[in-house]
Amino acid sequence: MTFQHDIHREVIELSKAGNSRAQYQLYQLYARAMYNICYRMMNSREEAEDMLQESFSEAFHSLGTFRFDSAFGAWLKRITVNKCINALKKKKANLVPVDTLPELPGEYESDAEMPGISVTQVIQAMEQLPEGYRVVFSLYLLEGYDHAEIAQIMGISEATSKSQYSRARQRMKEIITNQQHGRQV
Amino acid sequence: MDDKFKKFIAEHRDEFDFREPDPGVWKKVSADIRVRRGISWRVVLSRAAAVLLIFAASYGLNEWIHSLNGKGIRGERSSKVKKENTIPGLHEAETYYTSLVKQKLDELEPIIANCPSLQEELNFDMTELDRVYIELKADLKDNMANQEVVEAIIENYRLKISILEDLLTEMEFDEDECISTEDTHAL
Repeated sequence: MTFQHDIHREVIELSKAGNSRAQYQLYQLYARAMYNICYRMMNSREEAEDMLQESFSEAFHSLGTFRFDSAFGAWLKRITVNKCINALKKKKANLVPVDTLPELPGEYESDAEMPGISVTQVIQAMEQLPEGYRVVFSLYLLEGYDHAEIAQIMGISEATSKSQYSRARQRMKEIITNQQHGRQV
Repeated sequence: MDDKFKKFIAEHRDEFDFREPDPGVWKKVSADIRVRRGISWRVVLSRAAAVLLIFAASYGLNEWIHSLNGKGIRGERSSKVKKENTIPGLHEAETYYTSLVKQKLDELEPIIANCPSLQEELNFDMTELDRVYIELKADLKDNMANQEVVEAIIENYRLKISILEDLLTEMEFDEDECISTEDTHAL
């Protein structure tokens, strides 16, 4: 991460100075990754593009405050994730369906029985998850945040984040199994 | 604990970033940056005005000191006006920068023909810089701090060229579509 961050340092500095080409280059470097985060969080192309635009606008606006204390990608990702969480909260999305959550241990059950899966199946299954499950699943497995960070980002407890993730995995398995049975029928 | 989902996704992580954003997103982002840059141009212009104020103040002070000594500089003006034309390299530099500004303006004119808000913004900035230029030239005739005035004149040209080049670059990325600043405020 530090290596990549050093590679992009020059283009970040030029962007800070207002160089249009550097800003475009910086956008090109990160737009795809940020867009995919937005899509997974919002589950809609249109909303994902709105979030992408808002995230980069804010990032360029705040670029002067970026001091290379962390990797630029991580800094930008945090802005993007926060934008999406705020948008979901504004939509009054059911990020934590508490009433449907029985107490679950923080540990995950064995996946020994999990059938063979493909990337396409996982993507399709994620799109069918309830919003709260999808967001935690995505933040934990794809964006690399731990449960403490997810708790802080989403304004929930760490135990809720773990529980949501565990339920999300269970639901994912059910959806994928149904998909596989559907195909076999 | 055995989390095969985690392992599977880690092994195939790159395959999950397969979607591409619409190119139109960059146009909106760049329009937003341009709006903020518009504000920064005003800052630059206000700084230029501050420099001008300092020149004016020092001119007044000089005038006052000379009058106390009983020999105002106005009496020497005719010879100094002649001197302006002999400032080494100024005429050549002005010819060069004037033609460069004209070339950039000619290049930009058809590109922003359909963007009234951008034309208005550009006209405002160019008019402000022209106003500063006229006042600098007046200072030069008064032979006040010649070297600094000459540098300020050159800086004035460079600022114009920088504004025009920035706009050309942005319009290049935006292809031929114009997003008005009014629209971007609503984004």
